[in-house]
Amino acid sequence: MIVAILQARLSSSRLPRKVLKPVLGKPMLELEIERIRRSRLIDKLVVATTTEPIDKSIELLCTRLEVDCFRGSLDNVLDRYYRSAVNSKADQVVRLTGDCPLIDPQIIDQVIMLHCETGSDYTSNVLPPTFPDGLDVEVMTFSALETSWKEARLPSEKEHVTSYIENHPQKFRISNVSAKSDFSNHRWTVDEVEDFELISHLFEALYPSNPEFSMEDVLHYLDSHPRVAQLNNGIQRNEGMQSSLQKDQSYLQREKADV
Amino acid sequence: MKLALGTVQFGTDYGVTNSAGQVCLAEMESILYLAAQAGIDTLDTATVYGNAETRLGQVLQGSQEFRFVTKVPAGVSANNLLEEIGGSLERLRVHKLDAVLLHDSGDLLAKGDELYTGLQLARQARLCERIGVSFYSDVEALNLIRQFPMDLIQAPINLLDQRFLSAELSSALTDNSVAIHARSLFLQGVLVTPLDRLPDYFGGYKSVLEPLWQMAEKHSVGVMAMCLALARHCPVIERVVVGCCSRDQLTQILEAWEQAEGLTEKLDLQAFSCDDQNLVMPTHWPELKV
Repeated sequence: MIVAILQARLSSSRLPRKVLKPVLGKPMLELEIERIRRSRLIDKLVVATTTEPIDKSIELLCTRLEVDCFRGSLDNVLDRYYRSAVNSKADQVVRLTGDCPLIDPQIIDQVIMLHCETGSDYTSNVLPPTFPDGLDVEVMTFSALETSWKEARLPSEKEHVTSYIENHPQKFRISNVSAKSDFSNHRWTVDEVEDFELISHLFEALYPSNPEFSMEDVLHYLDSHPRVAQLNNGIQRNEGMQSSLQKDQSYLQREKADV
Repeated sequence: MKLALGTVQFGTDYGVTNSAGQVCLAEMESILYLAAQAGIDTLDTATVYGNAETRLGQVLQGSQEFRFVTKVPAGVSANNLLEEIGGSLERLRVHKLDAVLLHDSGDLLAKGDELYTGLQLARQARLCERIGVSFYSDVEALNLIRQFPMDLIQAPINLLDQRFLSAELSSALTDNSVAIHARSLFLQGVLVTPLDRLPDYFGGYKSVLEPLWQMAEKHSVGVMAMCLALARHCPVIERVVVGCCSRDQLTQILEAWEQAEGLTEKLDLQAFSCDDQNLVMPTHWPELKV
């Protein structure tokens, strides 16, 4: 069974409660779920949120949308993923994140297809990135996830589900899907207010005439509206990762000190 | 249809004049059927109304016929607010409510920002269309609706207790786009029970209550219609919450509602306004089980 696990929580540090911020009157997360559900290859979607009281609202949102919800560790996202996967009896796990409402079901299916055809342990469209930031899709076998869960030691490898795989490429068969050309300078994920402005603008412009708009539709729109494209210029990719790499440094220092 | 159905009688034996006790499931079903036929679209409930939420869920089986306004229990904390709302959704067997109100406005006074954030979250996640507070005090309402933007409040409004109809509060509600649901139209039945059948406690208020019956007789209308007329014609009131213990009582209320049409033009209903707290506030009454 191919299970997509969508990680989402309200206590994000930069833009708190972003996943519930309304776009076109719906919580951002609801719009994202709507898009994910159009994937033809995903058998089941599970939202993985935390046991923090505030995230009960995500669980209830899932109930309303009739989507499974699993609540687990706030910081050890790897553990949250592993338990979600065990719970939903996943053979293949598709990793998606709740701050990417423009996620494209066609791209999800492309990655899943390559993953299954090649029999890889891990297939994504981020190694190296060629798609806009915010259309990331990662697919891994359950056993690759289980290995990561058992072996991961570094804080960054626990906070970021696929870091262990990326750090140990020799242990896994890895494949990658690339875009036709390099769009990785586009930033369609929501971390800051400016990102949210861009995303709201895009939904308001594209959704009413075609709720199933694709990555190409967005690129085409941005080509003809260069000022919209500049709304979130100058924001750094993956700031969250940098903060956990700092945690790694102090973890490694402590470990040295223990010896 | 501006009437909404209160459901406290479905879960507990409520009201000093309610001697029928808790309504049985079959009667509930028949009340709800009549209500739907009459065009009533809103049910007012609360977690603390005994097992009312659970029984509504059982009887309605998650049908979309009615919208629900529910109230989370007094003493709710920011941490368990969402759990409480989740419990109500589960018991009512729906995914979404019209409104979630704090049953006790004191909770918002005590832990304002955090609790309010929780309510906003519930609305953002579209677990409810609207958020708000159930009030007893008009002064508190006036303060809190200015401090915390909300969509709906509920308050006691009846011939004797017209505090929430003051010009100041009405314009505050309009200015802040807050809707109001009126409850306690019959003051727990006291206003529609003949004086000789009221508990002794109300004997001392004969001079206040008698003119009501005299006016009704003079104009050959029911006292119940007079009670309803006050709210029926008040433009700020979005829904008028009435409760009943039987299908017959609801029939009576629906008839009185029709009778109430146009009554405010004929009768000076504002004249009954009374500020004696010991009469208008049920919380000030002594234990009055009959």
